[in-house]
Amino acid sequence: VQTVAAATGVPTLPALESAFLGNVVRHGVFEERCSMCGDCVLDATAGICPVTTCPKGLLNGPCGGMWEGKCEVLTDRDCTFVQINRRLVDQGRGPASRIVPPKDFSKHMKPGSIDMRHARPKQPKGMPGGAATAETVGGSGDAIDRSGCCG
Amino acid sequence: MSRLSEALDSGRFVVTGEVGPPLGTDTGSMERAAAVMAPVCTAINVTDNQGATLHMSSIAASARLLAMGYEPVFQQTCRDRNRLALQSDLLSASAMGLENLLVVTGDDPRSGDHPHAKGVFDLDSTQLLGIAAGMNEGHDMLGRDLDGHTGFYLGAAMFPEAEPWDIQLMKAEKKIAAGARFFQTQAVFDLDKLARATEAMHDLGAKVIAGILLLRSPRVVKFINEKLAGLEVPAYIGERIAAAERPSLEAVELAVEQVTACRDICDGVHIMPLGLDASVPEIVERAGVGRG
Repeated sequence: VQTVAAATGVPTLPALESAFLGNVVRHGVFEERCSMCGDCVLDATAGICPVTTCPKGLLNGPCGGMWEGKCEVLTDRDCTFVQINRRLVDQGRGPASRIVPPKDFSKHMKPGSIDMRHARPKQPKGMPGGAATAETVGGSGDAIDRSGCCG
Repeated sequence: MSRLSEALDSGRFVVTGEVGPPLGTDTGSMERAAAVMAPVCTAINVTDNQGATLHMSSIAASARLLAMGYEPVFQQTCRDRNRLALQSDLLSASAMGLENLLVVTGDDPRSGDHPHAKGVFDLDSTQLLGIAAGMNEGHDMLGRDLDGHTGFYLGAAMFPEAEPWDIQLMKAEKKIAAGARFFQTQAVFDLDKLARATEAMHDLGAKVIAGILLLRSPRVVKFINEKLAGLEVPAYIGERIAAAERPSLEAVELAVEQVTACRDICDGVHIMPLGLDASVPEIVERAGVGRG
């Protein structure tokens, strides 16, 4: 909508709501598992994102609303920290007893902007431009690794 | 120094009460509730937009209780304020003379009266405890020196009955590592689970004050089971209240039994009156735990 509106100058209306970045669970079924926060914690959380899947985005364990392992807000779903702990223990890595420090919300860029063209290292003349690597993403500010697949 | 910390450190069994600030500017009914409970309570908690519903701030209402000569436990949730506002409020609270701080995550806004509000949760309760502990030592969360440090006795919430226990325990251990010195628990009905939790917390040097709910009617039981997250009144208790000729009297009997039993298990009780404020002194005295 925004691209067409900017390019044409014609009044352009949205016909749908962009809800979230959906992981495909099965055809027609989507779940949000990554909120593209720019400050990934998945290494310590067994590949389950608490920033996204805990309704409160907590980092250090369940809130007081957990009951019988279920989430207080999404009551038909296991608490994110029950899921994380289960997988960490299964992997011989748990439980997660380290205190996770406050999150760096400045990395959640709003509005987001990444300029891969100008961050790209100079290529020898005549060489085709290579694919951007993690090191080349992020422009002149902090390097932000957006090269991997989202969580 | 807070009376609550002195009492707990000296091994005295403490009683804490709870009041909710008003939806409005008139603190009269809150003051009356506090006045009824204060003679038998070491401190009185002042809730912070409890149940994610709009009320006067805990900091202002706590200051009101302090001015009346009572000792408040200032509660702070992580739901409504970011790290700037939370730290700012801690400085304000300490400057106003508030000495007890209970840090909780906070109910989700979707369960309250402003369900369209944005839940902040910039920090979680463990992180905020750590920051408050740092402020007690004289620095903010960035490590910068404060011009005058806070002096909070730091408390946190705990949930002895919510399973699975291993991750509850993990969270409680983190809270102690972050600086919590005492816990006030969610309402407890299962004394074996209370004993399990207390033993674990005592091993780590923290005190445990057990939550006691006054269930004045079957309607209150229904409200708790349907509306309050992380809490369920066991069926046998609900049936006992429902079968009673006068449920509010039965609620007092039940509370006397619970408080009496807690004397041998933990370090105190936190009585949440849910409208039965006037019965708190009777419960405390009959259970033999009044301020001596």
